[in-house]
Amino acid sequence: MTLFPVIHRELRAQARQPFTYWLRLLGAGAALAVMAVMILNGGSGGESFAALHRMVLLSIWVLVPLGVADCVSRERREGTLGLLFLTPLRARDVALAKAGTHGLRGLALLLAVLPMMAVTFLQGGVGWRAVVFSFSINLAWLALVVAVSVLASAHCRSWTRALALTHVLIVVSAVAAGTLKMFAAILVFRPSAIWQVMEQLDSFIAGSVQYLTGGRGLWSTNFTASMIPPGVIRRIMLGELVTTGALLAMALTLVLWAGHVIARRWREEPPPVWMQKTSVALTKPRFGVAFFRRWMLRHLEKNPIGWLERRTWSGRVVVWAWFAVTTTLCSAAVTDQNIWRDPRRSLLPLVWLLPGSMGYLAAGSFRRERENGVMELLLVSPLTPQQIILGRLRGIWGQFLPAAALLVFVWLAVRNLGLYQTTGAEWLGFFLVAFGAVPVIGLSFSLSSRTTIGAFVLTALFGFALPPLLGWLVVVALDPFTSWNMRERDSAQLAFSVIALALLAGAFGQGMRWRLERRKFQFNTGVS
Amino acid sequence: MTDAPPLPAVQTSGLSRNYGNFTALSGLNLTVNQGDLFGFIGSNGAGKTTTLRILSTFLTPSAGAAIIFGHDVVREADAVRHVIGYMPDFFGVYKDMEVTEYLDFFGACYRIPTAKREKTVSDVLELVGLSEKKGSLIGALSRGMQQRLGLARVLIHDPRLLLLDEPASGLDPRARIEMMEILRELQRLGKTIIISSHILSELETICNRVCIIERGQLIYSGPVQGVRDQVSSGKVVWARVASDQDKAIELLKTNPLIAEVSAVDHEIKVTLATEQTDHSLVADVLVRGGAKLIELREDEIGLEEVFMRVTKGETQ
Repeated sequence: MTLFPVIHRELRAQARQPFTYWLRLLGAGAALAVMAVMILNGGSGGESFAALHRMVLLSIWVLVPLGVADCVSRERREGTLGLLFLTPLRARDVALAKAGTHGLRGLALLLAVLPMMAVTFLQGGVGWRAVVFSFSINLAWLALVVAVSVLASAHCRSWTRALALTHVLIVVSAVAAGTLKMFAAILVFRPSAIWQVMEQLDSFIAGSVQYLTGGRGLWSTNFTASMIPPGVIRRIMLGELVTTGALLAMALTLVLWAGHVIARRWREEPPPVWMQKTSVALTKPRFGVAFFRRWMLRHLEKNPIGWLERRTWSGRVVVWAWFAVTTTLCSAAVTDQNIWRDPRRSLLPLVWLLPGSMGYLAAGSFRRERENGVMELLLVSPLTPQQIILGRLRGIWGQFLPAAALLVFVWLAVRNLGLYQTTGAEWLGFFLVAFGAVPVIGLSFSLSSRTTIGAFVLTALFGFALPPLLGWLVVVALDPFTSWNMRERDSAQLAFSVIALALLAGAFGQGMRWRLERRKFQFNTGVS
Repeated sequence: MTDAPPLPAVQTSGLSRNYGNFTALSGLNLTVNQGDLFGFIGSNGAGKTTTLRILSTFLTPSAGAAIIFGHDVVREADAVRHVIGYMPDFFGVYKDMEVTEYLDFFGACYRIPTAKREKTVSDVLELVGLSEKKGSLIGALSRGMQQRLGLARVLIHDPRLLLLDEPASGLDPRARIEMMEILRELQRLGKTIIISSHILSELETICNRVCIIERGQLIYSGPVQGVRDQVSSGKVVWARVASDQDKAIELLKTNPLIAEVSAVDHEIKVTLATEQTDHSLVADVLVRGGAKLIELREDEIGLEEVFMRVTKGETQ
């Protein structure tokens, strides 16, 4: 195997990317923030340790794919993958080298948190078993996430598709690992209890999540309490180590599979005829073709820049896929058997998820025009920068409009029933402002950031992290002059966050216009 | 009453552009007349692309002014955009689009009404010879065809001035020749064309005027022949004689209008004095002196040679 040149190149390339350093800073900052919050709230060492563990696990699930998902797809896009195969390198070597390099980067994240974890020992309440548990879980998930990211990257040419596929594969892996663990636990402890477990699957899932994340002090209770026999603890530990080993083996298998995919795809041959025919058969409009053509032509007339978002079948599917997801969640929420539970609580994830997806879409939105040079052509056409920006924003808003309208309708309908204590007006306000504002911020970063990953992270920071922080700061500053109760305080904090988000979007919108007018954006052109 | 002279297609005065401390273009004064096929020559980094980007309104100049058909590129950028068609040195295509879809998109950006757009798309595709590729995906087109598509995009709104940055780069000889034919046809249709290229032999054959820039400064602007005359110190004529070559050389050396004579293999290289332009002098001297002349040819200096002589090969 000739891994080292690839590892060497990859590490050098990563070292030259500012994003690598920002990611480290972000990781260390988040760890510090978690520790500060835990210490300020008077949490025990065990609780702080579990909180840090959760932060690392979340980083592995969210941040690691951002860095890895483009590792092969980028080489495919830039045409450098084929050059590697002119040397004695084999596809398996490339996959292993990529996974190894990014695994090392991920381990650096674990090492960065180590000093903070050491502090929790000084606080007390953390046993060695919890450390082993945390390390083995994080290590196994790091390996698995890197492996699925490399696999997804080998499958796709575009970074966004690779990232989306990575997250789908992470969910699939989590379900697979959870199921594996469930059956292993049942077989180890009580083989006869399998049907009981199946009947109470939701409780089991909740328990598994706690087990994975150390939630509700589960680890400190289990590993330090004297009520659990030592034999059982030994079995739990052994089970965890066996699971970790199984997940590491699974990760290695996935990386080798990625090598197989690279070997099949590096020549960039067109898909087989049957696949092309199937694709055409599934995506070509069959009914109302004339109407559809007129409809699309109208879109093109009114807003050519927005039309680009809806031109492809995949762009149009986004509209109805989100509508389907929203319909499903709204149906589940309003038909809940527990009539005392406010359905809007179940809809809160959507309030975050829809603007989050819009931000994600917007952050990668102008990348293609920047890379293929069309942005330069648009800027010398009669379209003004304002028209280009608004055109693209209208395109993104249009893709999510049916889902958003449905959500707002259900929210208002539930509110008008008058059954529940809160009106939820502040959350509705947050959603409406985020719907309008987050794409503006995302689009702005899609112009100014060199990489889509950077644009996405900055959008998340300025669209979702900074406004609540500003809202909290305003509330803290106003605390001495007010006498609001807990609920009023929370509402005020949310209201100030919404105002901050709106103001940020306005500033970013103006900045984006200024950048386009003065051609101050990351301008990459290459002969394509 | 006499007619007013036609408005120049392009007129720049003192056009400069800085990127921080770096000067890409320095005081460029240029005039391109309507109907010209104007060659823009310079080494890499000489400022050609910067000039074309300023003329296309993509960049604003740091100093000076550029007027296109009477419109200032900064103050009347919108009016300029309607009369120019700009083709950069990269394709700028969506590879997953069909050919007509791509042109339709840019047609819509130029606000061409739907009813007119279909015919326009069809016409420009025919002009560039892509009619048979209407429904093809752009990614499936060859490099030459993508280049033609770029030209079709430039023509979609029927501009009066075409700014073409390296339109023939990377094309095979056939595609290059076809591209040059299309440009000639466009000139016949009354378009003014500014073309930057490194393939000087081709510019020489199609352009009526050229300009040479180096390190952001204009070195020459005018007819192709003018720059030849400016750099050549004297015409070079090659002669072959059937009789004694040494005697023929001696004969030639005695004439005051001949600057230099030397033997190169079986030929005689004759450099005429600067003021002498008629090479029949050589034949006259040889025949009168009794030499048997069997071949006489003039060595014309090419644009590449001119370029090498007038520039110092300095890039920024």
